[in-house]
Amino acid sequence: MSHAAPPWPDPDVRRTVIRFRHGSTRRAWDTAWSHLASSGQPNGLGALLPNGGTDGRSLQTRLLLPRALIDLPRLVVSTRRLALPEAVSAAVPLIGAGPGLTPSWDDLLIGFMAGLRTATSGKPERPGFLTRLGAAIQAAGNATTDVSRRVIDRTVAGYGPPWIDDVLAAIAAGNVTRTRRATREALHIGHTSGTDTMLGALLGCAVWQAGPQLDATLAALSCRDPNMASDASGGRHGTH
Amino acid sequence: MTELFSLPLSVLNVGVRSFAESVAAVGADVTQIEWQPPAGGDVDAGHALARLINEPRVEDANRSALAAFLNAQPVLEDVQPARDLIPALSAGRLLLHAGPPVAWGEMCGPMQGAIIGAILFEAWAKTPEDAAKLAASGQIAFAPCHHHGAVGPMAGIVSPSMPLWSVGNRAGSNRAFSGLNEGLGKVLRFGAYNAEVLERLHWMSAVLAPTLSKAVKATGGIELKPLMAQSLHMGDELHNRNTAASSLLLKTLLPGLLESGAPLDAIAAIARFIAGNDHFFLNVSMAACKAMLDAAHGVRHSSLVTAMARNGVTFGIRVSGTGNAWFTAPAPLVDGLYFPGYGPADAAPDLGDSAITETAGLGGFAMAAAPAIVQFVGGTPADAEANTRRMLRIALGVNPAFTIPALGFAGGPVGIDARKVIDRNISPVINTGIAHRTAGIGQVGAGISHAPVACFVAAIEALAQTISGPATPPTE
Amino acid sequence: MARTDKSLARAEKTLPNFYRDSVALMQLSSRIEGFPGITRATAVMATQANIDLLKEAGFTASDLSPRPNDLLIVIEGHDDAAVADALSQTEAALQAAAAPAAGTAAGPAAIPAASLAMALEDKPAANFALISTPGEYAAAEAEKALRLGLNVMVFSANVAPGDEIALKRMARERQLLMMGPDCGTAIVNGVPLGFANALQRGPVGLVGSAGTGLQEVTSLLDRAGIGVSQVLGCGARDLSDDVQGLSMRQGLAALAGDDPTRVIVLVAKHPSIAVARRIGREAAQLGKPVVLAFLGLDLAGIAGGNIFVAGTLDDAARTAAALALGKTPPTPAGRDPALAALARENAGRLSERQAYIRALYSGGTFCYEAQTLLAQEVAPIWSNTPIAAASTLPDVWTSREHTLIDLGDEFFTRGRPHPMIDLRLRLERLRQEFADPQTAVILLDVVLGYGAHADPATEIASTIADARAARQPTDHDVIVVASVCGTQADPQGLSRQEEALRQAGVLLAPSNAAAARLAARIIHAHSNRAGHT
Repeated sequence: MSHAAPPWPDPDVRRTVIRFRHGSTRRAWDTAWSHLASSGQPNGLGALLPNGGTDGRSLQTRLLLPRALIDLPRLVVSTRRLALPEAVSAAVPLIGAGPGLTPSWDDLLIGFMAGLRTATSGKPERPGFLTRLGAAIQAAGNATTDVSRRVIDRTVAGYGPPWIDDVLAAIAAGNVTRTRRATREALHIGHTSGTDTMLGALLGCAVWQAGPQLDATLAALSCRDPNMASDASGGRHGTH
Repeated sequence: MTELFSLPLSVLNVGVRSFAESVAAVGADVTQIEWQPPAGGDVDAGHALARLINEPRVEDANRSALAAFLNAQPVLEDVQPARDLIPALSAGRLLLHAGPPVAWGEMCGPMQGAIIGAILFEAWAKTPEDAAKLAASGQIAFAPCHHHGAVGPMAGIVSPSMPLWSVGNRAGSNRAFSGLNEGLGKVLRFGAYNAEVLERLHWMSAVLAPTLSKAVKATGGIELKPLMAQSLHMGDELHNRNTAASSLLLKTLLPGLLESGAPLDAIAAIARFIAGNDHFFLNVSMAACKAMLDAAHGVRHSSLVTAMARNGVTFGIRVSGTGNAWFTAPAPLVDGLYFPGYGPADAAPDLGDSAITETAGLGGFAMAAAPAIVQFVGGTPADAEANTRRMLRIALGVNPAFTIPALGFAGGPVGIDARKVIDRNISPVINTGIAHRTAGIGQVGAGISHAPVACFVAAIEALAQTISGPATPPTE
Repeated sequence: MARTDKSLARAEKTLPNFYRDSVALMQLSSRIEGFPGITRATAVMATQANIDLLKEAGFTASDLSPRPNDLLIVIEGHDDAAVADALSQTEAALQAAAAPAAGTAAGPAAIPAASLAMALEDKPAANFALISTPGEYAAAEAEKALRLGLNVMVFSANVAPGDEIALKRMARERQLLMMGPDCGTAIVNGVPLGFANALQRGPVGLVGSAGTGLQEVTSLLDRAGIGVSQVLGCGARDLSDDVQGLSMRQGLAALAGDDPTRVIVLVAKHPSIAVARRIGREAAQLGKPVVLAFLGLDLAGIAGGNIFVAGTLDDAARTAAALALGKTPPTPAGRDPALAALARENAGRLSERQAYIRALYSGGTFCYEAQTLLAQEVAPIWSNTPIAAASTLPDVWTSREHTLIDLGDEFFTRGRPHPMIDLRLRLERLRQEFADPQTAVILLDVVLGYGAHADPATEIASTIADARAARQPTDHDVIVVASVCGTQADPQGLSRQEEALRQAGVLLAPSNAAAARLAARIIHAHSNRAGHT
């Protein structure tokens, strides 16, 4: 006789699964990406986007970008390969870097982890990778502001920022209208937080999927990793 | 008055902005008031408010009421069937509900469902259809929990056999009660009344309650303010976030549970039950808040708000200086995030006595202690802090017992002053869950609502009438 | 501060437990970079990562220990002074309450005061409330202010008489100033409140229920080199039988006890005669000279001892100026030969048909004063706010014979800004009068000072030029007579305004009364020439 109330889906943990094999999901992701790509800003990591622009770019953004241009593709590629030590060494040193109360790089990582969570169900190594990457990021929480640390803690526990979860849920459902609306809302968060987190989330949910999305994204971000081409075309690692 | 001529002028400008600019142009001090007509433009209410501003009788009464509130010591002392704690429940067929008075025919879906469940639980009827007929027949009286010293979350139905926490104010003589929290999902307080719900209610009454009673008594009484203060430092706000407090409560009760003499499997089931419910402490929090606020109620001329409660149809408040009158307005809808598959069309209006926590300065007022809450309305932790800071501007004071880390361990706002709500056009913020409008489906979201300004307008008009006679000069 | 090898100056500052939202941080950064002499600046949270980035860029030389919740400001500039200045300005800006950025909520930023009580919590030393809300709310706001111990001026009109009396009694009990309702002008401790001119401080104290009346007397005093101590308003209805001059009597008592005040002037238009006498009796008890400028009342019999009676505003100013200098006040201005000559000269510009004065006033007291003077000189007189000797204009939009319009009357100002601020209605009427072949003289007041239009003379001059050009060349001219109520120190500048009007051919008179007299002189001179008597 069970005396506990029947399990009600914990409202904070959404079981969202994104598979690019579904055409509607791919289209929804493309919608979110094109919206994000046209929302470049001079500040934060949005400066990497195609129309980021340099007018009004703050010093702290200018200092972050050269590092981000190296470490962001490193993080993405090592995650795709499930190379944990390299992913950690790309992610962790920049924790606390960039403009904002929640520093830009932190926002990127938060979005990245939320995105990764939607794609863990394809291969058995992925949940473990995400857990250990999350733990490493969380362990470095003291290197950043309290505000950011709290959001990191929640994200590692599976409760991403709701506006990002909404975008990911809409993509998972393959609903283009919902995705557009949710993306628009998310981009309004904070000054650069929304853009930086969205960028992380779209990368995160695409990194373990087959298809051209990831390469096209990295190319658009002015990042070019010479290893990307061979990886994507021949890749047997971590694709659905 | 000629003293003014020897002081530097410091001007507060209410109205046309260019007048402030002229004052500033000559280098004098001026503040532009961001003014709006108070009480939504109701001129008579504006006059009533003016009568109460800095009125010595009100100021003195508020000092007394606030002192009684701050000095209250709520202690969790026992768990007993409602009929043994509330005599009126034995006198005839009576069911208590959340919020201000409401008739069966007007009640919202979840509340009617919960009443049907309570009737079945009490075996006053055998089927839901008969229970509904009985409820509509007039043979059962309905009364607000508040009228009998109790508070209930969501539908908040209390029936004679249901066990209640008993919280006594050891600095006074008042007592407050609240039921045991059933958990999430399909539960009575969201209007469910199926076999599983009733089975659970029976187990809670037969096994959980008596064992808890022994465990509580074994502690000699659990002082609730220190426990609540500690959980505020651990990310709770004690309305929508009760995880730390629930854990602390279980920790405190554990020895007593183990020594209660109940069979081990019963104790294990009890432990699983409590551990699996992050909101187990909510009802205790509510009873503690009611015990503190009741101690401050009934002070003549005081504008301290002593209750905010909703029944799914109306939102009502009570004020210390106006006795047991309810000042009501239509219940607002909640601004929040809905779980996947649900939207505003599915929502029941705001429901439950749990706004007693905000009335006591917790919940939405302590949002800065639990910034995650504000993400439900797409905000940032900074918004959570801003909300608490706004509430400080309608509070009578700060609570030295409930401090908030994000504010540098400053005390949280305490004591809603009904005058300030109207004077500053800042309405109390409430963190709340959203129930489905159909009985029994359960929670469909969470978010933030604001107490309707109309309630406070009615309250200050009533309070102004208790101030009779000419305005008295200040007692300096 | 550290000097780098680039010979640039640099300063660093850490602000502990800093908590502003990202938009505010971004705005802060770009603001600092905009200061003069600053080459680069940044405001970031002092995390190790951000400090490392700054060090790599050579932007900071010192070894800062990371404090992630603190804000780090680093400023680089051409020299130490620029850097230090930028830093202190930044700190000052951060001390001030930050306004929440649009769309996001700020952290512990102050919430703007939404009420008097709330503002007082933040600023307990505040001592004055200036209330200009819509009339129906003004009484409640004034009551709140008095209960909070504030002195009050209520600019708003349309407050119920019962409320006005209750407020003034409450103010008296609490020994607070209550100026108004419908009080447009005051100057307390040299601070302009409502519509007021920039005046020197000096020995004359004034109390008045007529706002532009106070402005005229004080401006004329200023031109004579005499300053004011306090200018207290009472509200337009103060000297009615209902209100019994509560505010004026309170103001009179206050000035009586105020040492810097050596001469008192009381200004009102058409007060109740009983109230005027009462005030006269109270004034007679004082040890200071009091000038009564109660327009429209014959107060013969009150003068004597320390009481002086003036029939016009400029007389009141002349009398008070003399008293302030310890001289005997002059007799009232009689027929001024200079004005008479000016009138004769200009009357020749008029054609036979032109016969009438059209006066367009923004100040109600000016309209009133002009009527009292013109009623003795010309007829018939029509107005939208007629004195006893004048008649009510049937259609306020169309002048007939001699017409004096108070454009500040509620009829015109409901839903529109006051004509002292917005000239459009008056300029339209000006064009209309210019086009009327019967108009001989147009009479105007031009009121300067705080709260008033930034450059009325230019707009008026330009309209006159257009209107003149629009008349047929064979027509004769319309004569425009004006007086400018203002001082050199006013934002608009008295001389500049007078010059602009002179350039447009306007005849300037030294006061409103003189302007009305000049207009009447011109009409007489013209009708004498034309043989109409």
